[in-house]
Amino acid sequence: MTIEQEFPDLTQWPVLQGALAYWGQTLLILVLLGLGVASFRDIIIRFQDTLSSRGFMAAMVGLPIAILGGILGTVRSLAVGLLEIVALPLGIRRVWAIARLAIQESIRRRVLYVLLLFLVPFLFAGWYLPKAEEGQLLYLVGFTNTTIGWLLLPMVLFVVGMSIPNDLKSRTIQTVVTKPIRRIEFIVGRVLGFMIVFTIVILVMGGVSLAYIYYQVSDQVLRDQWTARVPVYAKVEDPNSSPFYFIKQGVAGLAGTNVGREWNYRSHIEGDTPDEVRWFFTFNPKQFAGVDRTKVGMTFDVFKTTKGNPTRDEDESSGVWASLDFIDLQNPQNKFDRAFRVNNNRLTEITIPTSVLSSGQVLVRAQCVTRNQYIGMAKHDLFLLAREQSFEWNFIKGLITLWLKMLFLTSVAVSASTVLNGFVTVIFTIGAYVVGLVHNFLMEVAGGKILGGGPIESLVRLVTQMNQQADIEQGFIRSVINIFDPILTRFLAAVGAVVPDLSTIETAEYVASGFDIPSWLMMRNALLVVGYVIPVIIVGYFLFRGRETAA
Amino acid sequence: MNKARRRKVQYLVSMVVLFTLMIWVGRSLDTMQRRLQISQESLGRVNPVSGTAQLVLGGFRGVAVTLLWHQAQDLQKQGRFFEIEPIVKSITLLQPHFYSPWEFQSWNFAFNIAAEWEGVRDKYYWIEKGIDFMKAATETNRSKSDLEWYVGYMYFTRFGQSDEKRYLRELFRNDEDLDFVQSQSGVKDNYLVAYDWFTRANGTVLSQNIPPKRMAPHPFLCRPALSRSYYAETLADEGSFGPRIGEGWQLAYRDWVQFGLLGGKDRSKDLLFRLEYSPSEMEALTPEEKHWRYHYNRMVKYDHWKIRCQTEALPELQSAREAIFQANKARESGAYAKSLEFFEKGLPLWRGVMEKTEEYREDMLFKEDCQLMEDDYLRLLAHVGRSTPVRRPFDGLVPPLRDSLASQVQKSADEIKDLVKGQLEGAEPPKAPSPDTPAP
Repeated sequence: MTIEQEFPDLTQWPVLQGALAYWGQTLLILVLLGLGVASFRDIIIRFQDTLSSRGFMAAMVGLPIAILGGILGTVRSLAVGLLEIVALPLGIRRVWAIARLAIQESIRRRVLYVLLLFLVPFLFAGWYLPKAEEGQLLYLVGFTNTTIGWLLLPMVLFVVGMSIPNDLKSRTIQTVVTKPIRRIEFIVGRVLGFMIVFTIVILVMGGVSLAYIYYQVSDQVLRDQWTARVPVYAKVEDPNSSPFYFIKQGVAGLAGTNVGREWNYRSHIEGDTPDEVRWFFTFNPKQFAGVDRTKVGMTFDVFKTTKGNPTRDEDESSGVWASLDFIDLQNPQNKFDRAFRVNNNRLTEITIPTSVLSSGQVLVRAQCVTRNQYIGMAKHDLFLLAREQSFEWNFIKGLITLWLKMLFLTSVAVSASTVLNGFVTVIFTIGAYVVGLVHNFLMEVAGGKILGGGPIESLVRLVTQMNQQADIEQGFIRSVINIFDPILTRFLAAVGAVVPDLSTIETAEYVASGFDIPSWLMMRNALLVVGYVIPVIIVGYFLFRGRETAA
Repeated sequence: MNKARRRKVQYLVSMVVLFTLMIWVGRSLDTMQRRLQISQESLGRVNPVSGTAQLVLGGFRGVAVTLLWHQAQDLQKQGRFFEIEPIVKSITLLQPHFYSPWEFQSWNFAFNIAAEWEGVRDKYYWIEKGIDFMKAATETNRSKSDLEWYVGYMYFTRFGQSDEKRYLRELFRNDEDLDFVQSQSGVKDNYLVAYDWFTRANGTVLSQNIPPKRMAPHPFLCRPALSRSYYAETLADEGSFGPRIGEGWQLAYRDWVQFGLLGGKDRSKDLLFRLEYSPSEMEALTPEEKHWRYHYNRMVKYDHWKIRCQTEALPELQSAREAIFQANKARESGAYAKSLEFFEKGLPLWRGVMEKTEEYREDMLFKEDCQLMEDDYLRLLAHVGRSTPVRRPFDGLVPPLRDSLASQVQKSADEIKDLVKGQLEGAEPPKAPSPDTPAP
């Protein structure tokens, strides 16, 4: 299990407080920005009205009044809107009524048929998925998650995206808006109703998937991998120091020897030298109490500079060896060491006496023992196993991630559909989703970190079949690129700043690798999505308020 | 007729016309496909999932394949090898008859990814994956002789030629997946399975009478004979002596002759230039034909292999090889007296074969084997304090190893000297700047 990106632990109150304060500030800026735009629009309308009815001079004289009126009008409108939002809990019955309508509409539009469609891939998946025990869970979890995701996506797009525009077109919306119902209640009710339907669909699909995975995996996988390990990773209290570092030729640093691997997740140490890797663990020792021995898991990379002589028995069976020292930092006499053959890129588990963990502060040192060979390690490559939880619960946590994605899409689609027509809403929502998925790439393009330049330059290279490194000669094309690429990359950066990075909320790998999805990741994902959904709904509400629905 | 009804009738008529046209166009396309052998079923096995995937993606097939390819490359960089397989399968489902992905990825599994693993069992697993993948390619792309040839080549090289061959071949023999390890002759041996696949590839080439794409016909078509030869040779190297080796060499000889009889003398018409001729036919060859016979013979060492197969099949050479194998084994374990006994049994037998087969005696590899063997024996005698015999075991047949090495060193030194001298003489002396040369 590799963890390339760490997020602040939002389960800790001070961290959460900071995050909420930042989110609040952003929301405030958004509100002020909205206020500014709306006021400006109002002022222009007032100015134009006077201009067309009483002439230019009167309009100029009346401008200060128009400005004042515009600002006051918008503030009033905003205040009313905000009051409606704050008063939302009072209208919970009306919200529920709208939600029920949305549920009925979904069922009427045969959304539940997707459950039948969902069974089709399962009929054939067994033929095409690899059967080997290694990686079996990875394939199966990956397959079920992808299938659920890809079936739900069009459902959300077409059912949600088309819903309000269809109501507007057929004017059935008038039967709703003429009732004593607030527009925020209408929007929230819609989102709620659709999400109830999607939750049912996800639960059914998840249940079928779990049963399918259970009956597909071999007995050995059920015995060894059907779990959710709760690991304790290296951690220190001081945020300015690293709990993991290398010592190379007597000097401490965050990297060891570079052996030339393209993926620089791990760094290596050379065998039969004093070079070593250190992990510092600070944890609550109570979680290990009550057992004599504790499991330690590790996944290291082996880089061999010589094959040895593979025709000799002893060389083949010897492999690459590492030694591990566990030292209790409170009582350095209390220690334990162990040498073992490294199983290249596979999770290896050893047991250590729990007594060495008694103080809650442990240093682990690793060295490569075999001459001329290297071992690669990263911070999350070694962990203490606190406990194991059920695979099923972890799978459900994985489904919650999927649910969060659907919540994001539903809110975007509902809000967008208040002003856009159905088909445009679908395109807009697909756009938001794709941008969310390729967010990282987009930001790299916007930041000029991708070879081959910005959008226009890439297009030129693509069409002229030019490689990414070659210079484009000075001339007309180069000038066009120089003018438009900076504009387009700034636009991309702006789009990237608005849409969340949906690729970072993925949790399927945790489930498939048999690791518990950490609570801080669940919290972070939930806050990320909810933090987006609230402003999206608010924006949707104000847009809907400004829209004429009466004929 | 009112306007709406007229429009409906127009639509109906257009639909009927278009559908009729479609049927006609479809039929003619179908006939054309069959004639050019580019219809799904004439290209290879028809896969319903593959067909559906292609249909659903339509024009986005290429985009999807590119994205999947990138994903597979990224996963490989991150060492997430087990996740690559389903992605690669998806690529081949989308483009089943584009055989570069099949070829690239099966090589990737069997060579690159296998090399990333440290244990031999892991390497074996990925070699097997690569080969199975290439086999699937041969089913989906019928009549592609190159793919069939590569299956044989991977069995041949990955299990038989790599550094870990001893372990890999052992794992191969103990593998219970008979579809993968059993040859048509019923023996579990990588060279014999390779033989079956090379023979199949040859069958495809010869039946279509189209030369292979990636290779000249001679090295391509000689592979079945080469596999049989290596099979017999490897058995002896591994110490599995018995009648199987002699039979193996005899069968290999038959295969070489069969290969030599393929083709003809007309290079513009025949698939390959024939190599096997009776003495009278050989006499009758024109100088140009002789030149090409010499050229292609050198390309695949045809004469060498024929002589070698004939000689190695001799029972006395097998006895000699067995004795020398035992001598080396005893020497490595420190049983010097026993080793010398085996040497003294094996070397005269070996000499007898050499005296009988003048042609093979001149073979460089055979000569080297003799010299090394003789040197081992003489050094062992000196080591145990026994006097060296008055006459070397191969006296009069091959020069001693040390003389050969000394003469080789001398030859190389002379060559270097000539080269340096030539360069010094050939180089122009540096010119003195002329007074008219303008300042830079």
